Amino acid sequence: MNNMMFGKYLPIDSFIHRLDPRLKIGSLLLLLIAVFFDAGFIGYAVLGIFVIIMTLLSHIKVSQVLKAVKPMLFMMAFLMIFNLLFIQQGHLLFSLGFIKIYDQAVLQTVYIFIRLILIIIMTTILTATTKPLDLTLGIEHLLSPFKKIGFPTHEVAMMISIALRFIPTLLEETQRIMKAQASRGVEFSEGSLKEKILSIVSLIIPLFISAFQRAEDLANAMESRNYNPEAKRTRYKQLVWTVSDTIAFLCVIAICSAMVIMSIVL
Amino acid sequence: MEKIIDVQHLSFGYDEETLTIDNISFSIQKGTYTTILGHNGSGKSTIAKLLMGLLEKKSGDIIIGGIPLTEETLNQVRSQIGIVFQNPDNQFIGATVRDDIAFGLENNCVDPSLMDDIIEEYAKKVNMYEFLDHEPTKLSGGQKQRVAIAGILAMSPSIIILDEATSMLDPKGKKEINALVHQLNKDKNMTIVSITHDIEEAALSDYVILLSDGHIVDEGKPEDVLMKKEEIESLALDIPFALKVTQGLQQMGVSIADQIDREKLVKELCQLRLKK
Amino acid sequence: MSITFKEVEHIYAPDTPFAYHALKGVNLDIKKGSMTALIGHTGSGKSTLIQHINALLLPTSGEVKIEDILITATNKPSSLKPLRKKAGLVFQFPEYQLFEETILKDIIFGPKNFGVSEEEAIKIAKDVIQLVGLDESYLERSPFDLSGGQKRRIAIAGILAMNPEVLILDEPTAGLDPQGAKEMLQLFKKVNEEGKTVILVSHDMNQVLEYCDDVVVMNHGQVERHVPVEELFKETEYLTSLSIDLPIITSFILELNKNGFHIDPSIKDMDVLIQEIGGQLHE
Repeated sequence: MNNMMFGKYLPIDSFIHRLDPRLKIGSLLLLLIAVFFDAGFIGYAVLGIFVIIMTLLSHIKVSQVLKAVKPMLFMMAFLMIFNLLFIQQGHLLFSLGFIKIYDQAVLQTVYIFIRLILIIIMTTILTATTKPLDLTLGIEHLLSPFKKIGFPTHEVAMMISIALRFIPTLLEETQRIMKAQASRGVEFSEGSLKEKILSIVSLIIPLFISAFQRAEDLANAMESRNYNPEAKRTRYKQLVWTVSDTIAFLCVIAICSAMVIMSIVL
Repeated sequence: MEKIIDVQHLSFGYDEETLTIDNISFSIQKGTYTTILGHNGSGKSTIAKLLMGLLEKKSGDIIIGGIPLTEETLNQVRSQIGIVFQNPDNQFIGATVRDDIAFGLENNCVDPSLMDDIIEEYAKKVNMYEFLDHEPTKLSGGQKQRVAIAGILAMSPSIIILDEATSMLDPKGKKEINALVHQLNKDKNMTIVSITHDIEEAALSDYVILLSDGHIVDEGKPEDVLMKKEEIESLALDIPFALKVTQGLQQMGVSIADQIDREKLVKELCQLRLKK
Repeated sequence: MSITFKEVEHIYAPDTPFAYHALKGVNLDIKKGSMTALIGHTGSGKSTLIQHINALLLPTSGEVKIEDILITATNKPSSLKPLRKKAGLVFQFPEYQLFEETILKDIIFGPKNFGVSEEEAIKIAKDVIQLVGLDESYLERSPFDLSGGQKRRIAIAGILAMNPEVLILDEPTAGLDPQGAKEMLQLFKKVNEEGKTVILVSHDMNQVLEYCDDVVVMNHGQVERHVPVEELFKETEYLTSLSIDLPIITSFILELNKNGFHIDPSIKDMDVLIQEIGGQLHE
């Protein structure tokens, strides 16, 4: 669990770290859309170079990027094999029994590979350079227009930030309960299906009970400190939009437009 | 003396049949250090939640700083009281010490540009200034409780309730919190209500309320209440160490008065030895 | 059952930036049938140490020997299951490990995992529930309807039901009121008197003095002392350096002695102390 890089914040300082979370979240959304425009290899090369520059600017090491990709490899391999076998367009390149591979399938698979890699790296850059709390704050701000139609933006943001705050606590708790049950002879990695189910039950029930207890305590603590989700509150962390943010935003717009234009022209 | 907490004929039950708090009345004077003493299940933590308006009373009145606690005055009442709960982990709301202290300020609609100064001031007061940007998982239980106190102080209440706030801490954390709370009581004239089953802590307070099965069994100065050996024993509490010594000595025929303070007892015993 | 640690090192997350050296060259020999306290402040390595005794953690290097079972870095986890039965480990706040719908089911969960038949396990459950101070009528109730202190007794009963030869307890009285704590410690003393080795992790020096024979002090991942309890409390300077408080009775005696009394500081019994003070006043 400690080796998971995907979604983990890297506490260093860089140009990308200092950018406004609203910009980073918005840019990621735009870039994710841009990735799905078929701009050919030239388009992906442009986007690829942009992503490499962003990676360099955020001071994330290549090894860390690879670590983020690693847990996704299985899913990627599955998707790619699926594509390779089921797309039956263009010329037949290769056939062995019922396996038939077409040139279009190879092309599509390469595209999918590039898209997935780009998506993972871009998301990793966002989460590695933005504190979870700033992410929440950014999401809250970006969602604020929806407040008018009754969307509980503040509550959602509060829920996310509390969930983030308690993830390490609950992981620790999980380990503790697993060890306590292991001391009572439970083997989490071995045994028949029935034994496995029982061992999971012996973990899940205590975990839920303790999580509910924590939730109740937390609600009391929050209320005692005058928290009222419906009342007006001020925010300690203020987001400040700087010139760098504007420049970065223009760059992202330029890249995205280029992708769209290329997909139409090429 | 001014009554800052006034409770009259308060009753409460978690279900219809049983009363966890059964028609109790007490008052607490401004600037005092009061302990509410009782064994687990005596209803002492329930009282804390009732005072904060976290539970809805069945009947009776709670008046805090002259304001009767009702649905409408909830915020006014809560602004006067801060509470530190038992489990240090479950009351740490922010992602860092800084954010946690800010939480209460945000709720009170404090201007964000003033927050940094307030946060730093109170973090210094509880000796957590160097830890402002630390995450809760990197802090000890005692440090987390100190952050909780800083968060409360930042909201400038006049009463602090400690709901078994030190019972999950190691001796070092316990000592730090006790020292901090006593200092707040002395220097800032903060009213302290400590809910505990630690009789040695009660011995050091100004006023003791003894609770059992939702009733007040006895109340008064510790040197009066805690002297009653049979009463304390019947409530499944420990007798103060000094009292055990004086009562044992009395049985041996030594003429010594009952005592709950160990330091005073040492002095008395030495005088007795010299007189002999 | 004898417990031996030989040059045990433990490093968490080795070869990463988060690596943490929790045990450094630990040598320890805990006598069979003793009641030993394990003290030291948070982060001193106590909890890492006790998890080696039932092989929840394996040493990074060195070896742990529990009677005839040798634990080293290369052991396969499955070969260590019999050890979990021999060494019963009760974690802090064990009430959080209860999960079955009845108390009976929860108590027999452990024994059944170690191959005890259901009938046999039920018989054991009826014994241990009384041992922890509750009666048989509780067996059919849900553990979640009980008070915190009662839940803890049930959790401990669940470990005792495995009939371990060593009982290891991590802060078993945390959060209990004085009466509850006293009953709990008396229970462990009884288990110890029945011939079982008991290891008690505690912050409360009054408990250590009153109930334990030996004491192990851990500091910065090392065992710094392993002595009879009375010996340790003579070393006031050492204890102060670790900011460990003396038991109330010991510090009281030292205060009196500073003021002209001559009382043996190793007295642990209240009645003996009172006799002694009375005697010196009467002389």
